[in-house]
Amino acid sequence: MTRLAALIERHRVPGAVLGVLLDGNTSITAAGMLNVESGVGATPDSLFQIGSITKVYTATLALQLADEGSLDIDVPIAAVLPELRLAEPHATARVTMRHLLTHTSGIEGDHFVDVGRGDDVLERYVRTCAELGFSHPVGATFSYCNTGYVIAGRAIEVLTGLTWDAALRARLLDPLGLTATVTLPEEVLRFRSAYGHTVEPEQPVRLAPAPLLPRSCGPAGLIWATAADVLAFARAHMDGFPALSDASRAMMRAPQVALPDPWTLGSHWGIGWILYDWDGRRVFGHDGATLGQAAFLRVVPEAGVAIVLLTNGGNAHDLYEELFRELLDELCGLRMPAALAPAVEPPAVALGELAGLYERVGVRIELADRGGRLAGRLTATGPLAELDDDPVEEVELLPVTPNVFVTRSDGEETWTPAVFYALDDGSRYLHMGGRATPRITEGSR
Amino acid sequence: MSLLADQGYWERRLKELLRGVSAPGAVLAIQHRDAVITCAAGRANLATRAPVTTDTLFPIASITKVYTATLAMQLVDDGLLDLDEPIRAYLPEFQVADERTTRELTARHLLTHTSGLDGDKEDTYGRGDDALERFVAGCADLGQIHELGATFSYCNSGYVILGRLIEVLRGKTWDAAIVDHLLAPLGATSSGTLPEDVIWRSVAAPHQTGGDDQAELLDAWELERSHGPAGGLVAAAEDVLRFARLHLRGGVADDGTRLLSEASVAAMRQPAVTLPDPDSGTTHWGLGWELVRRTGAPDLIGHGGDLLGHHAQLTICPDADLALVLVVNGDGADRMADVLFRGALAEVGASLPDPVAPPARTPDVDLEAVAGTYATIAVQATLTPAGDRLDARFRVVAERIAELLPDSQRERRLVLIPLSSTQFVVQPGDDEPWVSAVFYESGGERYLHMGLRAMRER
Repeated sequence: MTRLAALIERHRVPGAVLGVLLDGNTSITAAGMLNVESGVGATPDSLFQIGSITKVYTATLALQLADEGSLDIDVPIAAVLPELRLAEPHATARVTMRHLLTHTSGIEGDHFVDVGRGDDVLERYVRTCAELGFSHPVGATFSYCNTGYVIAGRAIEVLTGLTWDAALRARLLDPLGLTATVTLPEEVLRFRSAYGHTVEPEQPVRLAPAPLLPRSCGPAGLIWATAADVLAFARAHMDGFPALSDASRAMMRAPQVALPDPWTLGSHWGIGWILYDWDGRRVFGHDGATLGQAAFLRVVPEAGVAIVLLTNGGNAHDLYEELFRELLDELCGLRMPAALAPAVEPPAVALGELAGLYERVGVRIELADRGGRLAGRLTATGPLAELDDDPVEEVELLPVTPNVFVTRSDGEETWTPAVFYALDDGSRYLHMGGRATPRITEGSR
Repeated sequence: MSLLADQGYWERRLKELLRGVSAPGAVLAIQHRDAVITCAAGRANLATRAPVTTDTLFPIASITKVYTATLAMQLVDDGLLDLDEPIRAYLPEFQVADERTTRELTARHLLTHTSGLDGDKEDTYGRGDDALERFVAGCADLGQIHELGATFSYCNSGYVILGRLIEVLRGKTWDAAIVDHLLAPLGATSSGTLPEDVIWRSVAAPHQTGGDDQAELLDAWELERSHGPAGGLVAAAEDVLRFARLHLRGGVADDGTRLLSEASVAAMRQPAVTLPDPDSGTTHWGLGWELVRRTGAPDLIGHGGDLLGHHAQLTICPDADLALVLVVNGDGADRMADVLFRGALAEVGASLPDPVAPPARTPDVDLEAVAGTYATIAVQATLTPAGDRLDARFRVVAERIAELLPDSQRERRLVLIPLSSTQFVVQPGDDEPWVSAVFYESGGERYLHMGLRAMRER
C-alpha cells in the first residue's frame, strides 16, 4: 500500500490524488475511490472539484486584462459594472478590483444563490446583491469573500464579452494547454470524476447530499481539474508564461494584506494567492472546499516544488497537514510551522470582554462565558445551511493567548484559531475560518 | 428455455458484433413477457477505459420524442390539450415564416412530422431554463419544406415546439415535466436530461470513426438544451424498457399506477401518416411512434435515435409482448441492431422489413426527370445523371452541425442507383446498409425523400 493509501484510510478520505512537481518533473499518485457507492477507483487522470483554488485562475484572468490596459484594478469596479448595487451605495462606490481580489472589500462574502444554469448566471447573481451589506468598512481588514470573486468574474465577462467559463477557456486554459480543466458538467462527462462525500465521527462515509455548487459560484470555485493540470497552472506561475506579464505574476504573490489570523490560511494575501511564511521561506498556494470535496495547493518557488492534493471528502485537512509536512521536509527541507494548540498553562482571560453575538451573512456565532470557559454556538444560515442536516455546532474555544483561541470539531485533529481584534474605529471582530465577523451585541445571552 | 431469455447467448452475440464495428461499447436489453435480460459489452469511454456496464447511461437521442409524445398525450388525457386545436391557442406568441402554418399548426402535425416546418433548426439558445421559450421565440423566420400537412418530413423543430407546449401547460420546464410525469412514476432513476443529473453515474462518451477506422472520443457533449424534447434524454437501457413496458401494459407503470389512458396508448400506435418512401424501414408514423405495418407480419412500433457519437434503437412487437433496446456509443449500431433484432424477432415469428439492395440489372429510366438540387435547412443534395445512375453531392450546410463533423463527412459524394423511375437505392458509406431514396410530388412540389426527410427541389 502506498503512503497515500495508508494516510487516506487513517483520515477517512474516500479517494485522493497527490501530484508533486520537483525540478520540472511531475509525479501523480492516486488512492481510494471516486465514489463509495459505485466503488470506481481514483486514478491519476481523475477530475476533482478544486473549489476555491479557482479564485487564483479568476485573479489571473483579471490581471491579464490589466496587462492589456482594459482594466485598472485600482479604480472603482463601478466603472466596469455601473449596474452593481449593494446595500450601502457610498461603500459600493469605493470598491475596486484589487479589493475584490484581496478579500478586503468588506462585501458580505458568503452570498450563495442559485440563479440557474444559463450563460446569464453571473449577471443575474450581481442583480441579487442589491440587499447585500458590508461586514467591515471597505479596505479596513481581510475577510474571505466569495461574493467578491463572483462580482470580479462578472467584470471579466463584461470586459471580454465572453462568459466567465469561455473567457477562462480562451484566455488561460487553451494558452496553457490545460485540456483536463473544465467548469461545466457537460465537460466533466468526458472524464472520470470524483463525487463528494461527508464524514461524521462514528458514521460510515456517505455521498454528499448535493454534489454541485450552483453555477453562480463559478469564478469563486467551480473548476474541475486533474492534479497534473493544477500543477501545470502552478508551474506557469512559478516559471512565467506568455499569457501574463511577469510584473502581474510577481504582484499576485506580493503581500497585499496581512491576515488577522496568520495561522489558518497564511500570513498574507497576494492577488488571488495565499502567501505563507514557513520556516523563513516564501510559499504561495490556495485551498478549495466544495460540497464534499477539498483541494490543497502549495508552491515553494525557490525550490521548484509544487504539491497538489485533491480529495473527495473525509478529514481532508488533517490528511493535508500530515502529508504536506512530510513531503515539504523531504523535498526541500522545509519545516511547516507547528499547528496552533491550546496553551498548556491557560492565560488569564476576561471572557466577558469577548462574549456576545457575532454575525455576518451565512453564520451566527454566539459566545458565552460558561463558568470560566468560552462556549461557542455556531449556526450556519442561508441557502447552503439548508443542505446541512445539522446547521448548529456547539464548540468550546480554548485560549492560547488573551485574544487568540482555538477550537476543533469532533473527529478533527487540526485546531482552528479564533482571533479577537478591533479595527481602527474600535469595532470588535472575531476572525475565524478566514472570515471577519463583527460583534453585533455584547455580553452573554 | 426461450432463446430470448438466454443471457449468455445474447452477451456472446453482442460482443461478437461489437468487435465487427468501430463503436467501443454497447448495451442490449430484451424484455419478453415478464423476463428481462440486459447485456453490456465494451468501453464507455476510450480515454478513461471505463467499461460499459448494464447500469451505464447512454444518450437515447430521438427515442426521447416518444417520451415527449407521451407527455403530450397525458395532457390530452387530462383535458388540457386538444391535438387538433391550433398551437396558437396555447402559445399565443407562436409564429413561423408561413402565415397559414402560424395560424393552423396543431399538436397533431407536430407529433406526426407533417407540419412542413424545416426540421433541423440548429440555432443554440443556451443552457438556461428559458431555452425552449427562446427557441420558439426564435422561430419567426423558420421556413417550410412543404406546405402544412402536405407530406411527412422528420421534424426535430416540431418536437421542440411540442416541448414548449408541455412547459406552458404544465407550468414547469420540459426537464421537470418528464421527471415528474414519466421518469419518477416509472421508477426510471437511471435517466436524466441534464449533464449535472448524470455525471455522477457511468455515462457512455460519444465516439466516431476516425483515422485507421478506429473509434475516437468525440470531444463535445452533443446535447443542446433547447433540443431536449426532440432528443435530450440520457438513460440506461433498462430504463428504456420501463418506458416500453408502460406502452406494452396499456399505460400502467410497473407499480400499477396509470400514467396514460388506454385510448392514448392505442392512438399513439395508430397510423396517422403513410411514409412517402415505403422502404425507409418504417411504413407509417403514429403519434410519436414509428410504425411497421405489413400484411402477413406482426406490427412493430419503435423509434431510433442518432447523435454524432451515440446511436440507439427501440423496437417493440406488441402482439408478442417483446421489446428490444440497443444503445451504442459509436458507429456501426445499425448493423448491430439489424442482426440482433432480426434474431430476436424471429423467435416470436416477427421480422424487420427487408432491406433494399441494388438491382441485379439497372433499369433504363429518365434520369433527367429527377436530376436537380434538393434541400432542407441542414443539407443540400445536387443530383447529376452519370451513365445509368445519379451522382449525388450531399453537403451539410448547417454550420453548427458542420463544425462537429470531420471534413470527410461535411460533404459526401454518393451514387443513386435506380430501381424504378421514382425509387433509387444508395449506400451512405462502405459497409453500411443500402437505403432507399424516393422521388415524388405533393401539392405541386417535387421532393426527394431520403433519411426520413423530404428535400424539396430548388
